Amino acid sequence: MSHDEVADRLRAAVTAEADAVQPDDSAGLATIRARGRAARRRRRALLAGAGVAAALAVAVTVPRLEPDDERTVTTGGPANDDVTTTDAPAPTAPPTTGPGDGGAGPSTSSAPSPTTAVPTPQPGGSGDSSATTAKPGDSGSATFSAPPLWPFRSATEVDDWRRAYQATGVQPWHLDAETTALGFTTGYLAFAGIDRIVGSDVGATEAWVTVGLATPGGGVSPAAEIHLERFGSGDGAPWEVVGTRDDTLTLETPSYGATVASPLDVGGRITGVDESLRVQVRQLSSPGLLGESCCVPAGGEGTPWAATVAFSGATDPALTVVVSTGGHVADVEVFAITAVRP
Amino acid sequence: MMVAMSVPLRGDEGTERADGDPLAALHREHYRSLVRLATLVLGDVGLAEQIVQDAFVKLQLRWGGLRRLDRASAYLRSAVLNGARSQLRHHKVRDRNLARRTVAPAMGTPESTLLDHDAHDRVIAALRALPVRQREALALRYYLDLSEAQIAAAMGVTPGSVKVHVHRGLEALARTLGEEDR
Repeated sequence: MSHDEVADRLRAAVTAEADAVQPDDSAGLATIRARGRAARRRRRALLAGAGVAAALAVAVTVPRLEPDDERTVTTGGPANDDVTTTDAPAPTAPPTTGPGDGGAGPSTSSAPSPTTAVPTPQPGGSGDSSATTAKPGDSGSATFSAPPLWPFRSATEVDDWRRAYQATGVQPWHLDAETTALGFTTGYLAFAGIDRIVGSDVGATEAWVTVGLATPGGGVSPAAEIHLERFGSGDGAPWEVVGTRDDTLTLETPSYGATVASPLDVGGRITGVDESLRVQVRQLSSPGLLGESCCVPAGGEGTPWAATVAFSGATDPALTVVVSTGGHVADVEVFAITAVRP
Repeated sequence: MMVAMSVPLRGDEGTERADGDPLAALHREHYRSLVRLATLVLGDVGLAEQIVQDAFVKLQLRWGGLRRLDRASAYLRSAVLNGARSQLRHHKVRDRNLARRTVAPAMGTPESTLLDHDAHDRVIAALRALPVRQREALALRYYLDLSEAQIAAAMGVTPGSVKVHVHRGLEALARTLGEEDR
């Protein structure tokens, strides 16, 4: 069969298939306008400025971003801009049950703590083993192709936790993608204000969790969409943070998974007004920063930004590079991460 | 201020149109064809509508950043393809939808029409089995009738890559349909 014959058949088939699709044009435009208005209100609320006076002004002049307000513009399935919120579990009331968990775990069970950078998987895994290769004698079979950022550094740590969880129910939050995402932001990254779930798409092996912050007008603004993957196989495999999916603030250099050295050139693009970028380098085994660069002025529409950050003390198999901006209504309002190898 | 812009429909770049509501004009000109394009790529009308709506919402938010409104149609096509690709990557809708038709066949058709439907179904099934880039290139070429340069802009690749994707896609379709015809 010649390409011309295939092309003729293809043209006829796609035309027939496409013509059979009859979208509701009027409903589409109304939905688009409503979602655009809601998104602009969120942007105004975020840019309205910090402080009590600004907060009051926002409350008076900007319609509150109640979840119901957002839901009224939803058609045809979940929309990216629709905001439904779930408060983060309070640090003082960690989840105590999980799949297969008969109740509260031992005293070592805890939710990701905003004040603890490294919730240690039980019992003591080593931090120097490869994430993709189990050591001889390991009973577990956890494999992972992405750089493991948080909360596990290696397959050995995952195996240790799985054994402990099966025995005592310790740290059940590893099985909850949303709680893991919040633990990553409030605990590991120390972004205390990024404390709620804006939306999530949790699949069998990977999850996308949008985390956000409360705004002065009473609404919620998304800060980042965190990508998680199961570390290992099966429902009993814990969630691991591997990156973020970015839009308004991107981190494109260094490339994901690149091997890097200090000083590190970092860059990406940003859409925003009067932004001040802070770049940090972290690793799971260190409670503090390995390096930081601040404060890079930026703004515009998809405008490139660049910074250089020096770091030291890198020993983990993967490092987290995080760029954040804020200062309008909160210290951190948007962030993006990438994973690199030292 | 009245905004003058080009709103090319199915590839006829250069059509001038003055309209006081550019969003409505763009929507009128492109919404339906973009939903159909996304449906061809995804095989799911509901998801296609959602992705196209997302693209229009993003366009609204970037309205001030679009220095040339005549690029809005190219922006929309690119946003729709990116959205469709993202859906395919993260939700594996392709596999789900290969197994079922998303558009109900017409009822009470004569025999000749039924045969046409069967032939079309086989072509569409073969199209949806192609790698996503080849599928996109073929849908843009043979549904929207875009030029190689326009397809390249929408897909974010070079015109040379477009040629490769179209050629390989047609090769694969010829192989699949040729085997089925035997």
